[in-house]
Amino acid sequence: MDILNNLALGADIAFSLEGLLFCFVGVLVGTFVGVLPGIGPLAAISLALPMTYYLSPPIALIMLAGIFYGAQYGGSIAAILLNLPGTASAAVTCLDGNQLTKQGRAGVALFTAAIASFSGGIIAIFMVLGFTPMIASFAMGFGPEDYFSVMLLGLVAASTLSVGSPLKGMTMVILGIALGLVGIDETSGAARFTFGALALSDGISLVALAMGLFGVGEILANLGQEKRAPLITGSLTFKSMIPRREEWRGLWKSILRGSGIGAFVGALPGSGPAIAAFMSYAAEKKLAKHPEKFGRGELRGVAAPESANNAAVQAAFIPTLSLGIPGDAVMAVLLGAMILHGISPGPMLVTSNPEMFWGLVVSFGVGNIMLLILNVPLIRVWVRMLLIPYHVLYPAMLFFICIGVYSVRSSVFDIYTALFFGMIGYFLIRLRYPAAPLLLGFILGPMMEVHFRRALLLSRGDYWTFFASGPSTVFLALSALFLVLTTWAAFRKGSARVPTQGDGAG
Amino acid sequence: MPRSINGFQVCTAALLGLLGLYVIVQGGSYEMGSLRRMGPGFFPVMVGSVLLLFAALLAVEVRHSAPETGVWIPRPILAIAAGFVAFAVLLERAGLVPATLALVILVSLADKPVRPVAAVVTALSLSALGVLVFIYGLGIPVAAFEW
Repeated sequence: MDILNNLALGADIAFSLEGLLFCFVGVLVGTFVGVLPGIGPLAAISLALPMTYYLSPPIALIMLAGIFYGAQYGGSIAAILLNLPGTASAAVTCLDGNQLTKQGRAGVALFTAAIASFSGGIIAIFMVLGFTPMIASFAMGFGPEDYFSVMLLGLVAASTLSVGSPLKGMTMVILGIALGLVGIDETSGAARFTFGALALSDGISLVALAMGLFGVGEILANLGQEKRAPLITGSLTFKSMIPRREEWRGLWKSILRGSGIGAFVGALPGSGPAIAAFMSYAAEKKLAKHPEKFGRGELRGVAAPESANNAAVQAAFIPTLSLGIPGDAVMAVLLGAMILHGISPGPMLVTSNPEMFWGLVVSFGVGNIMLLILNVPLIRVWVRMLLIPYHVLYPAMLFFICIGVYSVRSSVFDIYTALFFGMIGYFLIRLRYPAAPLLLGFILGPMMEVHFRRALLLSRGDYWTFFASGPSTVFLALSALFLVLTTWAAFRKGSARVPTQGDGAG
Repeated sequence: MPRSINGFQVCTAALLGLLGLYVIVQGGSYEMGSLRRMGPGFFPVMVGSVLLLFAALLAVEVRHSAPETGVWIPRPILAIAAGFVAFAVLLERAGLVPATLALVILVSLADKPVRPVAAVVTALSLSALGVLVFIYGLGIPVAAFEW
């Protein structure tokens, strides 16, 4: 069978010595940054990006992807023990996970989180296997107008689904597109918004932008806070980690539901693991016989979001690998990594670089097994990591940011760029503007412009071309639907909030 | 309770609006072309206009939001800025080790209380790590010490 041949090809890459080694490095780094609050997968992937120049493209991607899903495992550790989400997607895990810790049952919560993440990951891998080639072959017939519309849908979904104000999210997307304008215009060769600086003619460095917004900005925000939570671990023996028998029942159903929701939500453009975790938690609470137990140490409240966020991470590769359209900011950076490695993402990827796609998918399986081993027997090592004092950690992170940003294109200018966006990132965090949509806009913006201009060139300046093709019409209709629903929800919330705000503010 | 204006948020929205305006003006100075054959100025003007529109909507949305406290944190901001500038200035002129030492020691001043011993130890270990990983390992074109 064809798929078996392809899987064998992927296994060649994933089980090669290099493949195994860098998959391990990826998941190890991922768990590490996941455990540490204040540094997420996005900063880690941007940081590791320059170091992968020396690897072959499939190996580089295996490692970078490993950081992404490894962080989902690690993120739950800080959430459960410290009530601090190590990654944004583990925020929901705090609710019940930390309650369990307070009841002295941290071990059970950690074990459940690891098993749930593993199951979610494995289930989603099959989705990736099944859907990516299918969507890619469907997208083979896409014209520029379809690409423009699907990217627009991704951006609208990303900004309206993000936590907080949808209007702020959309503004950040546009700001990102505006920043993406800087540099030489691909079509005409004209330099735009470069302020005469030669260093800007290639555009703003993606790594400097991401490291500034998510690395420096987060560090500044952390330094501005006074409180640091104490660490309670209880006893973490293997025996203490196994859930009681009556807890096992129902847990499997929660994990399966969480994985399903996660895989589905993760595959949609514009949504991410954080939204998947949130939705599965909400669904679980609705379905539960005793919803009042949620938030007071319900194990299912750990299992559902953890399976969902890891499933979402794996499924997020579906739009990226089949259409070349990243669903969230981390995938956008991974897409940038592919471009830097000379691979053009798009529906051709599966057929033109089969070793890349199949190698990556097989490595997901390998990586998830490695993570299960890293997170169950070796859990105590990770708990130790939480003891690293912040006054040692943040200078080290800033050092890696500086040298990492510089090493991408040996440019001192990019260090200043990272500093500049670090300041911006800090103020965005404090003013509750989401920074992830900005990055998504920054990466998708230039592609959208190219497709927009190409579509209108082909249609001789007729805007109706965007409604002349089936897929494009559907994507635009969905985008409009998202906008209408968001506006409607905002109005309803706005009118409902007026009376309550008085008591809150007083 | 009379609802007060959140000046900080409104100013941010205004800044975004100004940026949108700038993108329109600057983008307009590039060739616009026609719908059929768009010049480099067309898309920027579009993007700038949407940014301006969103900024105006934002100003309305955030005008009464709850005020933020402690946004301005001069100590960490200045310490990190100083560290980055020192690193950028020293890296190609003095080498990776002096740049790293300056960066780590300066940014260590961001957090209170300052721990001088920890800062120096961190700075020295990171310098060694940097030379090993980045100069010997990855071969970035920078010397450990520039004479």
